Amino acid sequence: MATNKVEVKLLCKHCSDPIPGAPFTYKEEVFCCMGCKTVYEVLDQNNLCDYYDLADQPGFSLRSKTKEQYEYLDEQIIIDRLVSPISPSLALVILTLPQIHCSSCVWLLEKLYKFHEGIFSSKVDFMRKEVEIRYNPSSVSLRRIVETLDMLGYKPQIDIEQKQDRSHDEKLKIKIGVAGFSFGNIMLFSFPEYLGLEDAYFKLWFGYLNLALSLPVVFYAGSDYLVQAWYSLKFKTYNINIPLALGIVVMLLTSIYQVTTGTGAGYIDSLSGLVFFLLIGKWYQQRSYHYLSFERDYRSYFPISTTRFQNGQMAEVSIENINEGDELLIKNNQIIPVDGILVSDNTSIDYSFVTGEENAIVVLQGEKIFAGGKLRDRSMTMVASRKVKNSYLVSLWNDAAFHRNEDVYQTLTDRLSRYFTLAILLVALAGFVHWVPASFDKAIKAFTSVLIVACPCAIALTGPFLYGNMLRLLSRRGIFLRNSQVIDKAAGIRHLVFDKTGTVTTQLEKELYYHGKVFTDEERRMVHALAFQSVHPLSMAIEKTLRDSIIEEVSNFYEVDGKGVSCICRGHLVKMGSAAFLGLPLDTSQETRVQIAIDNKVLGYFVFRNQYRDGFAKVVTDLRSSGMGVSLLSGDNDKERQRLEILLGSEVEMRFNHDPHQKMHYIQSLQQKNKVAMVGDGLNDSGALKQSDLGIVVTEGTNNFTPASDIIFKAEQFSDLASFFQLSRNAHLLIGGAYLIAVLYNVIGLNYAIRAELSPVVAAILMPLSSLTIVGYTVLSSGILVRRMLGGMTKIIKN
Amino acid sequence: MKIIFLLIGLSLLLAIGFLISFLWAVKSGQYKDDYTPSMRILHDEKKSTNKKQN
Repeated sequence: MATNKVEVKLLCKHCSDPIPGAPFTYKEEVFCCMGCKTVYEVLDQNNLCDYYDLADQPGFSLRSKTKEQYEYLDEQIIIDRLVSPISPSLALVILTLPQIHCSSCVWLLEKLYKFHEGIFSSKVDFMRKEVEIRYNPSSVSLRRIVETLDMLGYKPQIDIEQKQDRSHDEKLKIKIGVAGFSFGNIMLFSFPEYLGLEDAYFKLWFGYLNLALSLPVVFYAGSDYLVQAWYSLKFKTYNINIPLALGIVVMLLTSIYQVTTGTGAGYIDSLSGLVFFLLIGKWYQQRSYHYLSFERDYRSYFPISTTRFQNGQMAEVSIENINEGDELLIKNNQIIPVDGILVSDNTSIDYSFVTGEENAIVVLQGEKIFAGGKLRDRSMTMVASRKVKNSYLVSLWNDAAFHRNEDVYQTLTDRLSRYFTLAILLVALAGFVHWVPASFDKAIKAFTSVLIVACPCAIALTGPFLYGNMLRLLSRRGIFLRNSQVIDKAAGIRHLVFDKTGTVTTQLEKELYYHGKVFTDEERRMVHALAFQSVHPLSMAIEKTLRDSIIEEVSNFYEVDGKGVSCICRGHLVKMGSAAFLGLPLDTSQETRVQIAIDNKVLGYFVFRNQYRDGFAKVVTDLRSSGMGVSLLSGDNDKERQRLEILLGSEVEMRFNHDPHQKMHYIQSLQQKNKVAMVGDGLNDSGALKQSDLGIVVTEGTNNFTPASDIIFKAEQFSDLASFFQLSRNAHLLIGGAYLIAVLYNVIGLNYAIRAELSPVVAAILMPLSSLTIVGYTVLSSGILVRRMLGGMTKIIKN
Repeated sequence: MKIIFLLIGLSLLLAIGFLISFLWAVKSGQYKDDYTPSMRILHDEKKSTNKKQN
């Protein structure tokens, strides 16, 4: 890149890309395309050119931008779903803009009020990649706002299905605040007790004051633990909430008894401390990646609207309202929303995301086309043969796997808590029975003391802090987990199924081979100049391999979408594209070929082959050596079988030509024996991902569509897949260590308790101490583990 | 020593005041986004835009 920049004279002012051919100019600045120039013009007119000074390269290239249709944003139903009206002249809309990436973006997007009078204010949330716009709906329409954003290069990602609920997050913070407030004050008012002051007045008043302060702690901040314990008893799903609630209730009752009878100060400080620490743990493990979604279904992949011909007129229609027999217009690169029949001329459609077949398929006039495919040709017309929700691909979501109730997952902690509860109750009873003959009072005291001191605060904190810290560390390395239970689930997986296309092969980089006459330098530059003009992925790949310091100027550039490109360069006619485009006999090979001709003389062709992700073979070997089964599924034909067998060995089961439904059933059949994880990327894997015990999605950009899953892996981290599973198993060892510490504290505490000598002071010291030890241990040890398994922090990845 | 009851009452009132202001801060969304303000604060409002870096 560095050498590139020296020779190329002109860089676009907006996007800093080299400018091919003649630049677009405005004032003294030069631009690579009309889009970039427009943005600069608009910014200049509004005195907003500071945008370019605040951060390096704030702009995105708009060369590959296609014109979007936003007519549907004038429909009242859609507006109602997106906009929250506050008053007749004030409305609020929150839009997701995946392009937000630097401080210049924040600056510019908060200046939206300069573009339209009707916009009052706009506020960016950088981490969520969202902008919150307040505007007057009677003077500026939602469509105008979205079009303005789109024109500036920030294309909103409009999703009418999702309106996130954020009140939960707020509630937890308030609960922590309340518990913290009470805890602090109760400690203060317990000082006389700690210091052993024997003033009856103080004792009485401070006792009641503390009791009053503990009520919001138990019945507001800690209410979730009581309620959940009640439900888990009711439905007989034992979890850690039961012993916790038992401890809370016993502590409260004992304290009330002691304070009202004047026999002691109770355990109010320990009680509020317990709830406070538990809530902190809850908050710590809650980590959401706002710009990632683990819940997406086909609706966020499909367009929201499409163009329909009706009575000889074209109109935008939202895809839910498409009926059988409607005639639709689909443009290049658009996604086909519904099954139907091709009416216009032969065309080619890319089904890679739906079926896993890599190469675009030629569809003849009158043939069936399926929803989810992407048109790789000029606009076409089709007649819908079904409604969207009955389309073949979409019917996957009607399958039972998507409707089965998520049964409550029991983590290791939950599974152990059952025995734990039983054990404490036994010890408490033993203490009670032991003391009954001597003194009933002491028997009660021993019984309650055991329940109080054995309250599994330390155990309940282990999971949140250990997994919460791992979640945080993993996300910095490009591995995003849906929640902390995922690590626990991953430890139990015994079989891993890979999807082929897009998952273990790279989507962007394909291996390029050239067959034919070797290029001269001049020819090479001419072909490069041609490839540079086009934004088709194959052209871009060729451009990358041929890249040179000099970019030739071209004229008469002409592109037939999905077929080929041609131009005049240095007086020669350069052509590049499919065999048909160059007038050659039909290509019968299974490969993707791009033919090259100069002055109508064919020089040769480029072949594109899948490139497997770095470290794929090693991941499979590592997984297998750790005792896990591995298989490979593909919707594609088996032309790659040999290559894969050489790469992975013949023991890995490979299945080809599987459609989305078959993939799901294959997972089902494996689940008879083992816990199965599925690694996929596209819509075609959605069923399998949902059916599996652990769905992992590999994505090359966090802005891309990812089907619903438990884990999102950035493609660069793919080679860490085996280490991740190892990590999840090792995490269980760390949990074991934490339990050992907890048990140690319990033995000390029980020692006092069983002798009926537990004083509130001892409890007040033991409890926070054990909690803090656990927090320190888990955070430190998980940090070391992640570093050992996945390498140091040199690989920090933002976004 | 009776004065201590007045002091305790005052200190509790003060603490409740802090609690209320915390609740207000959460409700008004001040904890919603703790990253963007750090980027926003670096932007100066400039009248003339002559500074060019490249």
